[in-house]
Amino acid sequence: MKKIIIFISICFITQTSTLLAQSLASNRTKALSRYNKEKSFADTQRKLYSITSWTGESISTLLKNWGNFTKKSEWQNGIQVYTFENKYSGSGGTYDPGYVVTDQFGNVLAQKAGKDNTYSYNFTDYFEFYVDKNQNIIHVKTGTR
Amino acid sequence: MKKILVLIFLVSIFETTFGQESYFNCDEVSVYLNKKSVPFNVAKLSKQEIEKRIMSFIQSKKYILKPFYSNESVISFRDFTTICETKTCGSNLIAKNIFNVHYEKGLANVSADCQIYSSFFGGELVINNNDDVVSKNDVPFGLYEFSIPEQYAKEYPESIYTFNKKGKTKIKNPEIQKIILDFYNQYIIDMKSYLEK
Repeated sequence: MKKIIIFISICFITQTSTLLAQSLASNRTKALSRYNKEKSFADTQRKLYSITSWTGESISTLLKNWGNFTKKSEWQNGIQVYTFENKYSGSGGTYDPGYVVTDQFGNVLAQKAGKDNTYSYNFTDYFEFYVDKNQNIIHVKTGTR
Repeated sequence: MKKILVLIFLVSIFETTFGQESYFNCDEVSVYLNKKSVPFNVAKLSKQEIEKRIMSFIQSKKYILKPFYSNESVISFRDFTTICETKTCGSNLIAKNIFNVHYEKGLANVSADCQIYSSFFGGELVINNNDDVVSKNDVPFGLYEFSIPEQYAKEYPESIYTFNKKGKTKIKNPEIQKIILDFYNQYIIDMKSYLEK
């Protein structure tokens, strides 16, 4: 009888500690997932911030650092928009045309369908600097199109 | 008749005392103005007088004027400030709000673009002239989550709502909801007292 009680107690303790360990691991995972998600957000914000912090500076300082802009336009209210663009394009992958083998009567003996794994991309990163009449940057917009 | 008058009087007293109008609402996704914009009672003021009062209000509150969003009939300004600290809300909640006051002779109303950040890991948030926010030393932070899955309730102590796998939403922190709404309503109360004086 005593042995049975000891055995049940051991089982109970083992199960409880297993559940507790699982629970702690799960909590750690969830806490880590929040940390990772927000770390990624903080890093993305930093990249944006480093560019948009040109707001308040003069356009001439920017041009000295960034060089020539891609295009320039002017709004009716006198705001000038300097746009810098980085274009990315390319292609890759392979095309396997497949084959069909027939005999002299046109019966198909073997065939393999073609596979098209090719890809191409074409996008433009843009940075728009809005400049007021005093030649100061008052707003920066970035994006991809 | 006398009883009816007394009843009306009591109802009006009750409304004045407890029925403070909420200009903002806070749902599972965002905080926003109930009616898109709030009008001000400025019927007797000229356009110049309204403009003067708005500019004076911005200056007195140390808000940041946003020329990019402003024009002849719109004045925009930004506020970036703490709503609530960790000891009260479970995380530092920081608001970035841009208000647009549309005005002309005898008319003015305000609309708002509200964003809340949560700095759970203690990072200090800073903002630049372009209204973009980072944390010092890139300590993790994020946009405030108004609602989160119920199994993440402990990890997001500051969230107002939780929802289960069936999508049923439950309010977890009504007191935080009240803090946020009180914080936002105060903007309108302040603006009204300044513009309608």
